[in-house]
Amino acid sequence: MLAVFFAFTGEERERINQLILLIATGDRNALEEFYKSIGGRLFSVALGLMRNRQNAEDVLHDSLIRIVRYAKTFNKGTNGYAWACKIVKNTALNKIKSEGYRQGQNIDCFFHLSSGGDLYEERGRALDIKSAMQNLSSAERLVIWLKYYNDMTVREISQQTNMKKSTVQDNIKRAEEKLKLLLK
Amino acid sequence: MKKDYLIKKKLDRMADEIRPPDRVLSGARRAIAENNERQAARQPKRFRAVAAFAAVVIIAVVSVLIYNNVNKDSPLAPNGDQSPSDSQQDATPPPSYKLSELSGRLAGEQDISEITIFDLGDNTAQFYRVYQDKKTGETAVTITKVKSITPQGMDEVLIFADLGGGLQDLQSLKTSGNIYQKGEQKITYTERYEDGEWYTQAYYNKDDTDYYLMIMSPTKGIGEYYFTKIL
Repeated sequence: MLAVFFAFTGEERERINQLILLIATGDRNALEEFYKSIGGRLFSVALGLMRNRQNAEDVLHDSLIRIVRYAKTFNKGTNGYAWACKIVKNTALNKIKSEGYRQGQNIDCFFHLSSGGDLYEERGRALDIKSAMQNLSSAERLVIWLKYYNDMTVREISQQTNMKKSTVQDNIKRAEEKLKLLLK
Repeated sequence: MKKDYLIKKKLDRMADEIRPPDRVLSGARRAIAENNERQAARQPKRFRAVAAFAAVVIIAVVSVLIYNNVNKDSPLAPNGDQSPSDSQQDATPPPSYKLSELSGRLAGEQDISEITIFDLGDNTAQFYRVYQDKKTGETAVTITKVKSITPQGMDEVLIFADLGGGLQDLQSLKTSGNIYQKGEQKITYTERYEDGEWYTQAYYNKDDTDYYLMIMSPTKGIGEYYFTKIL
């Protein structure tokens, strides 16, 4: 089961749960707010699995429909963000298995987005991590992405990327050292 | 795998700044609009269903009144005399009750011997209710409610065990629908799709006890999965 890999405050977590319950009642504004709050994070999960911007957008599109459809089955005592991530993850895996979507080799498409006039906003706060990530090799970027956004273990990353476990471990270690140095 | 706090924080922030194109949300917006339309369309249907139910109740009451009046004048039962079939009346009638006539409550430790625990796999939660005869206090029906989290959403399974053998509410399930068989054991069932969910209703008899199942799931054909688990 996908664990909660992004820290939210209790208040934020509660708000996400409320939004899912409101979506179940047909509240369109709740859907917009839900998307604004965690759309980017859900996209990151999809991108980690699809490794292709276009396919990740398709996965997010279908996942949001499922979230609307299944919102009424959401148990309010549970973690809404983890629930939404699970839907994204399963939608992505279904597409890979049953619809023949091809997984890309890396997540570099994300870093190749142009900074101006693109579909993706760039507001400056995250520029330091973005440029730090660009100092990593493709393989290092991918393992970091899968570890931090998709909450995968070394074994899972190894299976996903066809790298040996020891290579995955080395890449993670090297990448984290570089990032820590660059982000200091 | 332990994550570095600083990297995690920065990556969280980067994810928060990602704004995928608006078209990603279009399908979900449409789904919400369709849900709302369906909801609005369902209101008059509900009213019609209530009106139809009220009409059936009125007809039933009138029929009973007429029947009683006719019998009062019948030569077979004059002035409260015993009818000719005394021997039939002495025989114990078969049990017959509706759930609404029983006294229901959540099951406690004292009911452990009467409730049936089903193993329906991981990620499930089970709740139990017992329904007892109001006069004798004997348990007539137990209900096991199972909630199961699946990759598609949540399944809900209700299993009625008719220990008293007289439950009338779900008799129709005994004869209608398809048949699922595992060894000697048969289950009759129906499946229908409504409002985005698959509803499976089923009946089987095991160890001389009637069991009725109601399954609500986003997954088509899920009934057979639970049948294999239950049998």
